[in-house]
Amino acid sequence: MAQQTTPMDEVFERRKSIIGIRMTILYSVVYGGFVLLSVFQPTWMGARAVLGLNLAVAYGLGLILIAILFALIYNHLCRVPSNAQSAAGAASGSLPVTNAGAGDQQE
Amino acid sequence: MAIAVFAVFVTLVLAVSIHTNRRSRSVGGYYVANRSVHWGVNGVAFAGGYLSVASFLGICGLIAFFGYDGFLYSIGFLAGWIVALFVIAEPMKRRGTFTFPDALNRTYRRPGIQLAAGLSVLVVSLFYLVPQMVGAGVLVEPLLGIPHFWGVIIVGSVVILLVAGGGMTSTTWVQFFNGGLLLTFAGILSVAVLVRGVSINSLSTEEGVAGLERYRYAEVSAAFHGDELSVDLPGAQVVGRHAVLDRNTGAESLVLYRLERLVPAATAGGGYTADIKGRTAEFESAQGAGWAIEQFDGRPYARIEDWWRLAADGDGTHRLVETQVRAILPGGEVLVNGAPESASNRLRQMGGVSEIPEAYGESTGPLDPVRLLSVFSDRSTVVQQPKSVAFTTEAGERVTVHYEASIAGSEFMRPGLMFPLEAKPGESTTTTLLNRLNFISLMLALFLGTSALPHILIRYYTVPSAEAARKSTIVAIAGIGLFYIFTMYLGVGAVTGGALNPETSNMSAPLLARSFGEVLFAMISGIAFTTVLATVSGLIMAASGAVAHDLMPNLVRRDLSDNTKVLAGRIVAVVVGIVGIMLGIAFREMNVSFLVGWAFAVAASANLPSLILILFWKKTTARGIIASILVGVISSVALILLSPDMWARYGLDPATAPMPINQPGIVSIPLSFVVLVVVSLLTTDKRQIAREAHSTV
Repeated sequence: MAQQTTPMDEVFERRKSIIGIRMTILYSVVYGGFVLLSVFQPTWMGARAVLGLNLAVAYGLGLILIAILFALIYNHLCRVPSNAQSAAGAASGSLPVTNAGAGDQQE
Repeated sequence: MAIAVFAVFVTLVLAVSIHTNRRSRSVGGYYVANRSVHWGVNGVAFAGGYLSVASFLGICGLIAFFGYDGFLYSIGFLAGWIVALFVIAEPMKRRGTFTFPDALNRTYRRPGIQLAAGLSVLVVSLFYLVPQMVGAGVLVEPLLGIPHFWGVIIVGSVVILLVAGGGMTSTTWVQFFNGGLLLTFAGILSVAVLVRGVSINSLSTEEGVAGLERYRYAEVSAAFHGDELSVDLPGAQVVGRHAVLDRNTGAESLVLYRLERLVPAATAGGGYTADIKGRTAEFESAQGAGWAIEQFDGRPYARIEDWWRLAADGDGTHRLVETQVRAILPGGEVLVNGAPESASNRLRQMGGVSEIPEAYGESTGPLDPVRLLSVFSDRSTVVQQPKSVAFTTEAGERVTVHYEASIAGSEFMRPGLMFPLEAKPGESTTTTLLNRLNFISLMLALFLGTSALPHILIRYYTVPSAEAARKSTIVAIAGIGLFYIFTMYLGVGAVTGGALNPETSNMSAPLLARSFGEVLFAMISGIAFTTVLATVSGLIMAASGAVAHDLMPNLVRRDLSDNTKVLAGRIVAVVVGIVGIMLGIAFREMNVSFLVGWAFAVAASANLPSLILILFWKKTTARGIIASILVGVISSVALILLSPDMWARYGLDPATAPMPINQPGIVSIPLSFVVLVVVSLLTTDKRQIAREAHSTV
């Protein structure tokens, strides 16, 4: 069942969803860059990049490691208010405290 | 030993099913494991359910055969989890109760949404089920020596008992164990690959026989006299020729010559044996279809025919290089390398590294993870890539020739060997463009499809809270990410270990394991089995929930009692399981990884636009969602049915297919988004506006 929500939760949910969307967009850019490089400059992908690895291997492994890193960062950012609800309110003070239903909406 | 491990695994799975049966009698128990799964367990179960045989065996095989292009699947399969974590996980958990159609329908409460979404779950589950069941059959065949048909039936029956008996609880435990086993095992194999390092002409283990020298294909010099070719091989003469033409330029890209030649034989029992390409061929009599035993100076020789590949050297001279050949004669006899196929005369394993950077000499010895990849992808490393060509001779003989092509490590480890991304000489710009679009389309579907897969979405409802849903997704990303890094080492290891079965790339990981000994091989057989079980049980669970929770109550238009819902779920699980078994048998020839890409495309087209816009666009209406799901399912499935690959399967010319590319995602995903937006704008939903004012989250 859906849980009980309070206005404070709402604010925090919005904040989380904004963080989530920003991180998704950032990752999409990195991923999109990878796909476009593979498509249009496959020879560049064979060139040496770092640690003796070619660009394809380094970028590919990098995409996996960045995903894990992003996940941990996101979890860290999400953790704050469950320990201290008021801190969350303060942290997202710039966002208006809206009525129930706001969580459905666009950022 | 493989059979013993398999039997232990089956017993364990059935024990889990019986043990969890008591806890699955209520609706909550059957469908969502009482929402009491710990996030850590759920995270590992995510990994265990998500990492299908396509990830485990399919990707390792693709990397081993096509180098870096196989790893592109790893990247796409993992990247999709970013969308799942950041956008889908928590809202889906907060909004839904049992299934994701619940979550979509929370604001609107329209039967239509539940019906459309339930239908899409069913379609995607079945689409994904086919490759898994085919994979099950393909695997048990060589691993356990059971025919494909029985393999599918055994795996299907175990899954049915597992799901119908223990519902989501038993599914969760099987997925959890599978996730743990996969990670541990892939880790152990990767370390073994690193310790072995890269060496040229290393001793390898083939089918349990340790210490075999890697087979070196014979080469003979050949000279042209006009169009006639003569070869420097006593008693051999050219009796046939086959050329493969480049599709774009029309030039001959591969020329094969059929040689009739004599091989020394020995009498054995009532028949003869001969050493052909390192294998012992057996001849029961003195004459057979395609071969004959002849006596010269009182010694027996086998007269056989096989195919050699023409190689041109820079200075105008030519060589013929030995290949491996499997041929089916019009009479049904099967010949391997010109002699009857038998247990001792089979195709050899292929693959290997023939040159490494000079500084290392013959062998690198143990390497660290970065150094291994750097040596393997070096410009001066030469990889032997298995290739094959199949054709029918004028006499009606169906021939498949397997040969090794040398390719620089730096080229093997960059995109382009499987996906033709670069413009080839003579290729039209349209073809190049379409090839590139096809690739972008696949990568888009992988990125957006993961978070829309039904067997992934149902796992959000097995944990107690949104926070637990998030944490388990993070555990999943870490576990799956690590696993996909291992796939790179397994694929590379299969090449360096010369462990490639020329006929199926899917066997690369098991043969790699076998090159380290029978124990690892038995383990991988067992794990391949749990991998199929874990994914298939998740899919059947998702389909069962869709029918019993989303479709049936809305079709009969009344609420069902809890007992009825659980009973219905169990019956649907049995039915879907049986359908899966039948599809698995019917599609046995299908390539496993090929269908998985399509399942992702259908999932992304059908579900993702609704999942995203319902969260972030307040003008989304019920009709918009219904239209988007239906258009997504229908358009993606239709584009697949009209694609060149399917055209080839119907026996038509792929070039005449109405849809020019195989991957539908790049068309159907945006289409589904557009339909959702347009229909929503056309239909402002009064009930929805009223509801929105009251709803929470």
